[in-house]
Amino acid sequence: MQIREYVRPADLDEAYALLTKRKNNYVIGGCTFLKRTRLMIGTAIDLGACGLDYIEEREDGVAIGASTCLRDIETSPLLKERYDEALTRAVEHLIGVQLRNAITIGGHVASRFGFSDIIPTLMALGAVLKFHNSGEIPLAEYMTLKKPFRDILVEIRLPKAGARAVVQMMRKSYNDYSIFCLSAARTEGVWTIAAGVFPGPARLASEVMADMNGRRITAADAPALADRIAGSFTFGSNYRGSAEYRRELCRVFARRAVEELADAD
Amino acid sequence: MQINVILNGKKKRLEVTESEFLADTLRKNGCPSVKIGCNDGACGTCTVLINGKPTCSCEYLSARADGAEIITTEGLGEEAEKIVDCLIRVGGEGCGYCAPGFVVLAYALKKELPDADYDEVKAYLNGNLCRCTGYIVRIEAALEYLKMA
Repeated sequence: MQIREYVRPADLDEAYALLTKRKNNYVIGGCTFLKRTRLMIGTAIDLGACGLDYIEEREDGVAIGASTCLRDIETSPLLKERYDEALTRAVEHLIGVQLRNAITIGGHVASRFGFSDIIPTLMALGAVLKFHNSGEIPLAEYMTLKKPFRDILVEIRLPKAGARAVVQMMRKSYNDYSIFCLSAARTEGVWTIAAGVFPGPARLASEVMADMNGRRITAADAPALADRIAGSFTFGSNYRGSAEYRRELCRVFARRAVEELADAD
Repeated sequence: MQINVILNGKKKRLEVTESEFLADTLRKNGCPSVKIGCNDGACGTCTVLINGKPTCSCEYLSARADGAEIITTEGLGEEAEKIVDCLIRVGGEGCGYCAPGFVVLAYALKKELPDADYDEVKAYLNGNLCRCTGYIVRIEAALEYLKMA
């Protein structure tokens, strides 16, 4: 990894102009993966002066600035209370406090890491990404794009209504990366179920969700729904686990999630 | 390029390259306590305080620290001694390689969660690996330190 020039622009317009000037200019986040890359960076763009470090309540929901670190998301009373501690559960196992203080949510989400066990939880909560130039796009849709935007992620918006949520991950040790993860959220009658580490990028179980919404779902429905959810995804194998293992994990996680968030019998 | 920082209470102008990481910069500038263990953000022995937050300096670009206040074990004075005393009292001193990172993290723990219980301490110290002691004595040492005035 090599950086030729390091710049901290004063505002987003200046940062965007720099980003689009050359192909090898990059916005940097927490930089915790930078060292492992072979990137030859022309201009590294540091958003530190753009004022994107915030978690704030808005009229239409909660906004998390792109420069907010994972530790602040983990400990935020507003996020805990509104979203059933789902984001705390999603990030608290990640290596250590020292690394979660460095990793920015914007850098993590915009990179669309296939190994991310945080993105599925944000998807389940209905996160929408706000880019400087391209406007808004639901995170779930952004994950399916062939190429990420060449743009600056400004903030992540979560819906006002909040949610009840279940976050599940399988790890070999307490602070390892996930072999597979699944998160589900329910806002009144609406279910959102997302999984990740297939090992590819996170996906929604859209078809099954559409059938579940507006219907009364009880714990007795969980096994059949779990089979359908597991059947709707494509799993792959890597050194962390086989496709078959991931499919079994998905079935179990989906069943538990439905049982937990189901209507009372 | 040059960066301006407040390092252990003193204003400093440091010469760094654009691709340099803070752990290397600090070691070159009078802070040999900052150890580079895994060089990958996993072991925590390079932990320093950046604007009050414990952070892995091996994964933090030096340029990003421009304007920041940085504190290493060298800058913690009496508090560092208290933490080391706690480690010794519970038999948790080991080889000492990870100790500077542990000292910074224990100091940050007391600032952030002064009333932390056993499980909270355990979770907070999770990012600081130790291959000598096992982890129980380190949790005990941190709990001792939380009790001190």
